[in-house]
Amino acid sequence: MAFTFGQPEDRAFKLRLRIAYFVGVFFFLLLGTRLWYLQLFRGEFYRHESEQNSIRVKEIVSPRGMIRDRFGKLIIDNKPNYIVSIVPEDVSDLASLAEFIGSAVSIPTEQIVQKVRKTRGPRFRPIPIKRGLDWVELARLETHRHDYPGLEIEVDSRRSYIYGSIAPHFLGYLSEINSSELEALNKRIDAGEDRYQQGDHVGKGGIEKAYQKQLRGREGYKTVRVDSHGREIAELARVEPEPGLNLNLTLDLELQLYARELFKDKVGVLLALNPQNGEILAIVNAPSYDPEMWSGGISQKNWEMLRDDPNHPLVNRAIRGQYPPGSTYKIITAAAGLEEGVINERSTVTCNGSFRYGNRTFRCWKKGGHGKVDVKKALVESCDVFFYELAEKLGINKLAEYARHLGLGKPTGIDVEGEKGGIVPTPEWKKKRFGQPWYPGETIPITIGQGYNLTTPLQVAVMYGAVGMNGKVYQPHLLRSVSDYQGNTVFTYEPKQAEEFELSKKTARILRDGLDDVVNDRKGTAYWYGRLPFPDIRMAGKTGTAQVVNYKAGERSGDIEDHAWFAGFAPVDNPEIAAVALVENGGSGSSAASPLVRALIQKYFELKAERAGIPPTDLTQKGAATVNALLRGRN
Amino acid sequence: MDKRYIKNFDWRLFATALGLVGIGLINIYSATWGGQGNIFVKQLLWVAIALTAMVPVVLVDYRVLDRLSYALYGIVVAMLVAVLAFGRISLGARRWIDIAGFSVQPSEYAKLAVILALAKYFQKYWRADGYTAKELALPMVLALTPFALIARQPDLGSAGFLLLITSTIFLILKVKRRLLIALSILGLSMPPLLWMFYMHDYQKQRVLTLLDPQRDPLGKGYHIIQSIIAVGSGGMAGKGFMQGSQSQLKFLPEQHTDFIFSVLAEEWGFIGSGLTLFLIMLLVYFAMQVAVNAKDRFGQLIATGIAVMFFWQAFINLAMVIGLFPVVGVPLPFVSYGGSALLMNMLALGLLLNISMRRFMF
Repeated sequence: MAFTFGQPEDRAFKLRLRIAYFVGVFFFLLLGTRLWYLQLFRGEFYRHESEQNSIRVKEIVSPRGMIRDRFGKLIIDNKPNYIVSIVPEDVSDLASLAEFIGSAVSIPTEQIVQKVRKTRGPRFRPIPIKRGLDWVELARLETHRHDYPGLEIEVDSRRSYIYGSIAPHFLGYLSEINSSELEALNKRIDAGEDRYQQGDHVGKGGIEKAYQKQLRGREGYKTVRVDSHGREIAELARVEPEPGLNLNLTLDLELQLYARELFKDKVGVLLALNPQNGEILAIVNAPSYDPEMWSGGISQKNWEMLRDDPNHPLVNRAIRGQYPPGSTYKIITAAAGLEEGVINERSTVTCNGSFRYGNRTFRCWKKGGHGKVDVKKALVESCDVFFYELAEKLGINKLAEYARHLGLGKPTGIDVEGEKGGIVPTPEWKKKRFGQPWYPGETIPITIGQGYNLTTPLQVAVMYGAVGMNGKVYQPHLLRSVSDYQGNTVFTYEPKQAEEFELSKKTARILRDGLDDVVNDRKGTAYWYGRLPFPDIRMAGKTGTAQVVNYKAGERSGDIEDHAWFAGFAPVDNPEIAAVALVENGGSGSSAASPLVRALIQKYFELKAERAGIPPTDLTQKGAATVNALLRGRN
Repeated sequence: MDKRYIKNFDWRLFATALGLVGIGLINIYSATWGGQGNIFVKQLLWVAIALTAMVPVVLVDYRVLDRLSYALYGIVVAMLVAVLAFGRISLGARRWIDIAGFSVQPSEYAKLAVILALAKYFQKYWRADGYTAKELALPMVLALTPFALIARQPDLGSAGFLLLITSTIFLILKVKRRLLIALSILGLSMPPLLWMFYMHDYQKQRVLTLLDPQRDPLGKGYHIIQSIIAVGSGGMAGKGFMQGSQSQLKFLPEQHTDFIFSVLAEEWGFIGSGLTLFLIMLLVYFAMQVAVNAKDRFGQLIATGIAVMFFWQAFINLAMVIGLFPVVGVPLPFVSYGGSALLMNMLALGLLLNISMRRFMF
């Protein structure tokens, strides 16, 4: 190594080091001077400032985004929420303050004292004691507000459910954040988003939860000067809160209200969607509950009532209820048969009321049999034997393939959480589930939607919409667009095709013809209750009956009625609405379910005509030009 | 072991740094008491870890770094890339990666890695008569690579800090006059260019807020105002341990990390803050003495870099706390809470002790 120590240039380097150090010392002297200025020269002033530190920063809650229907009608709004709080910093006598508040809002004094003692955090942050004060409580507190330092009444907002309970399983409700949510939400926080704090209210379930981030907005702050009692004497600065984004849903509020009314006192699901893009137009779970019950914390009494109700009002049947699809499944067997070339339009089977396989007999629902049956007649009259015949030729795996193509066996992907996927049975599935091989005989009940098949009502609606769309499945969704508080659209939901799949034109036509006749042919199972009263708009569909099996006993229980299904779409040739009714223990699909779907779809077209300014009489006229224009124009 | 090592161990430097650590612990205790629980204990643990990690750094002859410098630099750059690829996002930036359960902030270690890489380069290309732009091109790349990666996180404070260390080292090493003029012009034109094309809104806000804290009295301005009130209200003797109303009422932001000095100044007054300032000047002085007395070029360059790093960290942090510099998130060395920074500074201290211990070895 070439050392240059002791040589002139090295002395120069050391000199530069020392110079640099003295420059550094000079910098530090600047800091020292500033410290001297702040601490000694202005020390008295700042000491006074700190003792008087009467500057408080108070949060201003941001108004949560509103929720509207597809036409901009407000469904969920905000209303003021009065909260009584205690600011520990300002309290002079906690015992008497707690007693006063306790008597005014009917909370035990001891509970208030405990809450104040146990809450951590800055002493000037208000500790909420009770939210959602009513007018009497508010008046009692306000009268003596100034006699009790540390008492504070704040206003934020709570949800206002304008039409009461509208699809609460899907729209969700708000409730106080719990500690695991606090942690989970704070982990997923974006830049510029407020951190969640204890006491925040967040969306639980449904849209309120799925779009929590968009709905919440940003908190504002105000800096205020307070006197020694904590009363605001001046506002020094203010940052306005940023309101949350507003959601525009795909729901049609009027149709939704009609569906709710239609399904009153029933148990099950009624829903409608647009098969061209997956937009959900109306969705009713029954029985249901009032989301208002949760605001300010659900009471023990209400909770027990909901929990113990034998009809399970808390269950979101439309996406979490898994039912045997019954005869609604037959279109899958038919589609698979036609597409795979196992049958064609003219293939026939003779139904004499039963089908033998090995030593077992599978019966058709019609004891005397249907005679000679082709695929169309099999759909129209819902002949079981025709489909039994296809079991062996198609095999379980082909059936499963088509079931999946049409949206069964996996969640549809609707934009709220908790959806179940149903079951499309296959040999692998059975092996995994029961550790047993698949017996060929088990394929037979599958062809008519019994056996291990399970579907959610939403899946069935999606499947029927897809049949109307030549097999194209669109992911159902509730969000249509998002707009900011000034009304600018910031996000528009693009329709997503869930499956890269289409039926051949021919198969699709045969299926549609069959489903058309189910409703509009004199022999069809839905003829008596399902026809639309409009000569130019026909509905196609299929009835179904899901056998209620007592799974523990492994056999049918005699005294419980079957679940009734009906799934359909309209108009037949270019469907813009697909709907499903599932009525638990309703009996037959044709009498219990098809009238509900028919009424809903009828209402849909009546509303559409009304909005387009077409007189309702035009709908019931044959060949009305206005109706033709209505159907041709996209909605 | 050679007895001369013990004889030549720089106790003054070590004691000064430990004094700062002690001051830090006292104030971290006060700042976090009754609040976030075990931060004080965590810092104690970090002190133990850092002192332990320092032992081999002191004992193993620093000249092995001659061979390792570029490798260490490479590892740090790889870690910075990893941060961008799968780092943890916190407060809107990706700054940490989790290694074996520890959160590591590689931008801290980048400071030391750049210093070592520069030392290695300059001992090989020593120009007593000043460097030309061409000769400084490679060292510039050595500094700009981690700079760009850290700026991407984004952490403009730490990134700019690297450039500050590097350019200070250049100046001490002497650059040709023409280059000096060119660099001055570039340096002066950087801020407006950064402002217009590079800075995030929040960074602009910080600068504007510094110039006028009242424009944002609730956000960053609020921090500066409250910090100044805290420092000023300490007066001559301070309000006493754990008696600072600003600190105890949590008016102060980040009071156990970047703003630890305002807790100190409030509770210990001008006496405490002046003493701390003096200790830091001593630390930098002793570090510079290590550079002056080092017996080879490599050690001299490392010590110079570390002295420069200590100086700028302390200066920027203090200037920030007393409202002379924007809030950029540089901790006070040895004093602020924070594992990565403490460990990095302890390792740097270990290197200084190592170099000074071996000053009579050749």
